[in-house]
Amino acid sequence: MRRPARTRGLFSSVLQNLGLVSLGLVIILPQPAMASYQAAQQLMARRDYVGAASEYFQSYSSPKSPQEKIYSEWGLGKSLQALGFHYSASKFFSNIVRRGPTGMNPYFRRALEELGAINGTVALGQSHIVQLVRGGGVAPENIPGRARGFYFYYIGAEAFIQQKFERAGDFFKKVPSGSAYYAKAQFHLGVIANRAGAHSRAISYFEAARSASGADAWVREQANLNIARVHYETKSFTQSLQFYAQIPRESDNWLQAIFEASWAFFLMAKHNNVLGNIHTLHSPFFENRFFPESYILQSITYLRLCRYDEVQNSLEKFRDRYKPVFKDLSALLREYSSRKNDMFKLVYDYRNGSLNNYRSAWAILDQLSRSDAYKEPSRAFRYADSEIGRLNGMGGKWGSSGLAEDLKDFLNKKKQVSRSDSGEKLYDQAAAAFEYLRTLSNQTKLIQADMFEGRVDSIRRSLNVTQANDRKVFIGGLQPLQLDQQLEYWPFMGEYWEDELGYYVYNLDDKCGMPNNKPGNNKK
Amino acid sequence: MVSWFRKNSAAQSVTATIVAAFLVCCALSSAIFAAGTPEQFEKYEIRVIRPKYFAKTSRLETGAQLSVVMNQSFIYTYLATGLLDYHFSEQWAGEGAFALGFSIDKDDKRSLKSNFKIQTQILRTQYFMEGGALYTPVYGKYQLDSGELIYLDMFFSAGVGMTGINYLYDHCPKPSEVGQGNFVPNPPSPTTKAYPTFYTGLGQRIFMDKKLSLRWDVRAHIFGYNVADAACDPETAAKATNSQTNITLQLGAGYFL
Repeated sequence: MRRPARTRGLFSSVLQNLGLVSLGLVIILPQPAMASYQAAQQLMARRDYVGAASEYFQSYSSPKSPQEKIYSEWGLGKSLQALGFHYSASKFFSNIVRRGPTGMNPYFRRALEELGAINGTVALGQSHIVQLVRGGGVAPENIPGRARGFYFYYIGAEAFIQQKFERAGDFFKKVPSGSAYYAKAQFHLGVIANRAGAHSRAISYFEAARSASGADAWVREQANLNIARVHYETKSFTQSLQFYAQIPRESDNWLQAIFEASWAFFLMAKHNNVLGNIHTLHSPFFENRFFPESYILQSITYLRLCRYDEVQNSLEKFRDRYKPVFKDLSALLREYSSRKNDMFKLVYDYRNGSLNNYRSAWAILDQLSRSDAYKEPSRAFRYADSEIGRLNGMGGKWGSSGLAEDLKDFLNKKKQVSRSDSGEKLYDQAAAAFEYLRTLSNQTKLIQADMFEGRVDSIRRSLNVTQANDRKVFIGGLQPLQLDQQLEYWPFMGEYWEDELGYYVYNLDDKCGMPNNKPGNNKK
Repeated sequence: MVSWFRKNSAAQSVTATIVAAFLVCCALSSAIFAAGTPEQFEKYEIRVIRPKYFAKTSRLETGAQLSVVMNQSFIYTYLATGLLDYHFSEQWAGEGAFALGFSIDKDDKRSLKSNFKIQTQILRTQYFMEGGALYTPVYGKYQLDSGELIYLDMFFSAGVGMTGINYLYDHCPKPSEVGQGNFVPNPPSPTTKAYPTFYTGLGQRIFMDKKLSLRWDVRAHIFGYNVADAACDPETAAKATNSQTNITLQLGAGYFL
C-alpha cells in the first residue's frame, strides 16, 4: 500500500526531529557520538588499540549492517592481538574461521593465519582448535600457505584421537615441511606407521620429527622415546638403550626412560644394570613417582639370579608401598566419580602443595600432574588468568562499552571448558592407574605362589631372556663401556647423591648353581 | 750491625712446617669421597659407575698463577707464574713452571732501618724455574646447600729447578756512612744468582667445567746458597753454605687443552 506523499513528508520530518533529539541526547549523555566503526578505523590508524578495540566492540555489538559486523569483528581481533590479548583475540578470529570460506566471510584466510600465529605464541589448546577445524571440509586451496601446517595438523590430530589413522595420516602428510607443526605431524606419522607394524618407516618418521623439532623438547623427547620403543619391539636392545639414554635428566620423561630401559637390560640379561636402574627409581628423591611395575621387575630379576629372599623382599616392598596407594586411590575415585570436573582442581592443589588428603595417592597425582591432560589446561588457565588480570587493570577504558565484561566472560568460559575436559581425562587416567595397580598386585601373588610351589624353573624359563644377545658391558647412565674410557667409581653406602641417580650398577652374582639355594631356605 | 738472617731462617722454617701441615690437613679433609679403581669397590653391592666428569689423561694443562712467598718477615715477594702440565694418566703428570716477580720491603724493614739503624739482610726471590711430577691420589666432590656439585682433585708435587735470588746489598754500609777511621769497601753491585732447588708441595684443582679449573698450590722450594754471595765483602767472607725454604702460595687457574 502506498503511503500518501504528505504523510511520507511528515514521517520523514518526525524522523529528522527524532534524529536531532537523539543527537541532542548523545551530546548530553556520555555516549559515543559517531559511528563507532569509522572511529575505530581512525584510532587503529593512530595505533590507539585500546580506543580502537572499544569502538570496534560497539560497532560489532550494534552494527549498522551485517557487513559492518564482519569488519568490526576482524578489527576487534586485530586490535586485541596488537595489545597482546591473544586469547581474547582468538575468540573473534575463531568466530570468523567457524563461518568457513564463504563469499560473505572475506577474513577467513587471514583469521586462520592469525589463529595459527596465536597458537604458536600461547597454546590455544587442542580441544579448542579441533573444535574449530572439525570436519576439515575446507578445500585445500582455501587454506592460506601460512596456516596450512596449523590447519592440517589439527584435522589430523582430530582423526588420530578418533583412531581413524589412515585419514589422520593423510592430513599429517599435508603439513608442509617449513611449518612449525611439521615435527609433530612427522611424530604422529611415526606412531601410525608403528601401529601398522612398519618399524623402519616409523623410525624414519621419528627421526624426521627429531630433526625438525628445533627447540620443541616435547617432540624431541617423544621421538627419542618412541625410537627406543620401536627398537625394543624389534629386540634391538642396544640401539633401544642408545635412544633411552638421550632423554635428559631434567626431563619429566627421564624416569620413564630409566624404567623402560630396565626392561631392555632385563631382556639382555644385564641384571646388575636392571637392579641399578631400579635403585634410582626407588630412591627417596622419587618417592612420589609412580613406578609400581619396578618392584615386579626387581623381583623377577632376583628370581633369575636365584636370590629368593630378595624376591620375597621386593614383593613385600611392593605391597607395603602400594597397598595404601590402592586404598586412597579407590576412595579418591569413589569421591570424584560424580564430579570428575573437580579432578583438575585436585591435581592443581597437589601441585601447589595445598593438598592434605589422599596422601598415599600422591604418587598418582604426581603422575597426573605431569600429563598433557593437566599441563595443557594449566597453560590455558595461566594465559586466561593473565588476560583477566590485565582486563581488570583496564578500569573504565573498556568497562563502559562492555568489552571487558564480554572478554572476561569468554576467558572464564574457556577456563571452565578446559577444567571440565581436563577433569574427565585426569579421572580416566587415575582409574587406569587403579586397574594397573590391581593387575600388578595379582602378578605379585602369582610370582610368590609359583616360587613357593616349586615352579621356579618354569618361571625362569618363561622369563627367557636373550642371554647372549649382547656381549657389551654397560656402565651407569645406560651407556656401553667404551675402550679407554675414564670412569669414576663411587661406592653406595646408603647415601643418595642427586648426581649419582641413574648411574647405579649392582654387583651381584648369580646364585643359581649354589647347593641348598631354594626358596625359603635362607629366610631371615 | 746485626744480621737477622739466620734467626729469620729458623723462624721461617717453623712457620713453613706449620703452614704446610695445616694445608695438607685441609686438602685431605676436603675430599668428601675418593673415586678409585673398580677393584676397590668389589665388596660394595651397589656402585656408581660412570664416565669421569673431568678426565685428564693425555691432556695438556696450561695454567697461570700468582705466587706469593709467605714466609718472609721483611719483604713481600710476588711472582707471576706460568705452568705447563702433561697428564700421562689420571694420577700422574709432568709439570714445568716458570715464575718471575719482584719484592717490596715491608714497613718493619723500613722501621728497623730508620729507627734502630738495623739493616736486615734479605734473600729476594726474583724467579724460579722448575720441572717435576704431579701425583693426584684424590678425586672428590662437594655438594653445596643449593645442591650444586663441585668436583675437585688434590695432588702432590715434587721436582727440581733453579731459584734466582736477587742481591741488592742494601744492608751493607756505604763508605760514606761510616765514621772516620773506619774503612769499609764499597758494597757489591746488585746481582742475581741462581741456586739448584728442590721443591715439594700439594694443591687442589676445582673444576669449573670440562676444561677450566681453579687451582691452588702450596709449595716448599728448598735451595742451598753460598753465604758469601750475600756478604758485603765477598773477598773476606767465610765460605759456607746455608739452606733456605721459600713457602709459596700459588693461586690461579688451569685450562685443559
